[in-house]
This record gives sequence, C-alpha cells and structure tokens, in this order.
Amino acid sequence: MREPSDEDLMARIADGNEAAFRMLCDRHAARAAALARRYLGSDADAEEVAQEAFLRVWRAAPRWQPTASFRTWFHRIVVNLCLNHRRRVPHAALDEAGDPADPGPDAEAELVARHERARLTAAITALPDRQRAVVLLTYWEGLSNSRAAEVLGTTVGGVETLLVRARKALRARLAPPADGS
Amino acid sequence: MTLSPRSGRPLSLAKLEHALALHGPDLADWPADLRASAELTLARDTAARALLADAERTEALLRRHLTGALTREDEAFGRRVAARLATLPLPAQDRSWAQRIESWLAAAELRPAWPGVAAFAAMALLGFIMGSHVVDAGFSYRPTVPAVAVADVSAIMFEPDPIAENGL
Repeated sequence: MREPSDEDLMARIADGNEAAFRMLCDRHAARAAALARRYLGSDADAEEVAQEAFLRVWRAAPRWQPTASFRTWFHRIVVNLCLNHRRRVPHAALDEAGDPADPGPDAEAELVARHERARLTAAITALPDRQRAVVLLTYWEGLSNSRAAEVLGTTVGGVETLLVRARKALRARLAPPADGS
Repeated sequence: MTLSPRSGRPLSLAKLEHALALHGPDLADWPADLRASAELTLARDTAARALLADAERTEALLRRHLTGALTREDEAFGRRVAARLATLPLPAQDRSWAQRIESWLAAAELRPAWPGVAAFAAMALLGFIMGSHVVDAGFSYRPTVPAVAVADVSAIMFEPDPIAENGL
C-alpha cells in the first residue's frame, strides 16, 4: 500500500487524527531535530524546539492550506522557532552537533575530520542568525535559493545577499593562518 | 555590488571576491562574460588566485560536512523527540467556528453532504428562533388604538354588565 503523503497526513491531522500526527512525527522528527541541533548547537534546546514545532503543526493543522509543500512550511516553523530561541537565549551552551558516536576504522582520519567539523561548527555558530539559517538551509537541507527564500519569508535576492555575506565570513574565519601552521 | 564587467577587462579583487561568494568557486557555473573577466584577473594576480583557493577550500568543507545525511546520533535524537511527543497530551487545535460546528456534526454522524445547504438550514433555523424571540419579547407590530376604544370593546365582549332594569 502506498505510504500517505505529508499532505494526506495533514488532512487527517486537521480532523484531529492523532495516529496521523504520530506518523508525521516519526517521519520528520530526526530531520527537524538535526536541523535545530545544527542551528542552536545544543541538544537540550534542539529537543525543545523540535517538540514545539510538532505541537504547532498539530495546533495549526485545521487552518493549514496546502499552498506550499508541507516540508517548506515545516522548515519555516523550525527555523522561526530557532531564531526566536536565539533571541531569548543568545548565549546557549554549544555542543558539537552531528558527530558520529563512534570513531571510524581510520582513527587518524577521523580525528582530522572531527577537528575540521569542530572548526566549521564554530564558524557557522559565529554567523548572524539569518546567515546561519541560510547556510544550513542551502547546504544541510539542500534547498534551492527560492525554497530557502520561502522558508525565510524573503526574496531570492535577499537569500543571495545573506549567502554572499555568510560565505565571505566563513572564508575569513576558516582561512589557514598566515604562517601556515 | 554590480558584477557586470566590461568585456575583456579584468575584475577588481573586491568584485572577484563578491562573485566567488555569489556564484561559488566553480567558474563553469558563472555567466560567460563574468567568467572571462575573472580568468583574466586570475591569470595576472596572485592575490586573486589565493582568493579562489580560499573559496574552494571553504566550499569543499561545507559540502563535506553539511551533507544533509543524518548521523546515528541524529536518528537516536529524533526517536527520542518522537517518543517524548507520544507521551505528551496534545493541545486543543486552532479551529474556526465553522470548523468546530463541522467537527461536532461529524462526531454526531450528522456531517452534511452539502455544507451550503447546511449553512442555509442553519440560517433558516436562526431566523426562526430570532423571530420567535422577538415576538415573545413584545417587539411585534401593534397598531396604536386609543385605550378607551380597547376598553370599550373588551367591556362589551368580556364584561357585559347586566342590562339595568331601568336602563331602557
């Protein structure tokens, strides 16, 4: 049997169907939590944001209109909650999100990769909120500029401007030291 | 920043840096005239080549570590979120009044096949109730009749005095 689409599930959730809601949660929880972890840099905060995002989906389902895809709408909820969370708690503790729990077979390569990832995480964390959001939506979520613009409620030009600033800032932060060390 | 180069002229370093941030370090993705100007700059200027190398390194780092692939930790974290949500009581949903009535009718297995007809019937019922209420409250039309005339009529109809013996 064909798996129900997100839009099918939303129609059932709008009628108060809790089983459909649980199915939607199972389908999107890992992605939503992963995006929030990478945005906020804290597991506890990401868990709170991901839960709140799903509860908002439940509450708003009867009024949801399928004019945009569910994923775009849901991304928008998660990103907005992350932005609001950062405004409320600007100096959240930073974990290193996204590290595999166990090292790979090549310990040295894994060590280098961890070091690279840590530098990148720190550089992304230091970006202003909307630049960080656009970097994660573009690279982590793989969204096009127009989809990222829909999520962020801006224009494609606005996304390009944010991306240009973010890439310049990242390049400056990630450039190797001048002495080559 | 405008990037439109005059053809055959090299880009300034600032424009090259902006173009690298806008279009990425792969010159094949750039507009042809911009690419030609950038290639002139890169051929002549060491600083321009250093800019390109930095942009390539940063892009590679982003592509390598922000792949979008979920780690085992992400999967476990997602399961934890879903499990926690399953234990939480769900809040009331945001419904308009029309949706609440529709849900109530659906729960009572009275969901109308045609919402328009149902709306019309509801309005007719509302009109009937309001009409009855207005009449009961004494707001109905009453012609103004002199009190004396009313009194006279009621006297004749309901309180006929016995005709006095000497009345004639």
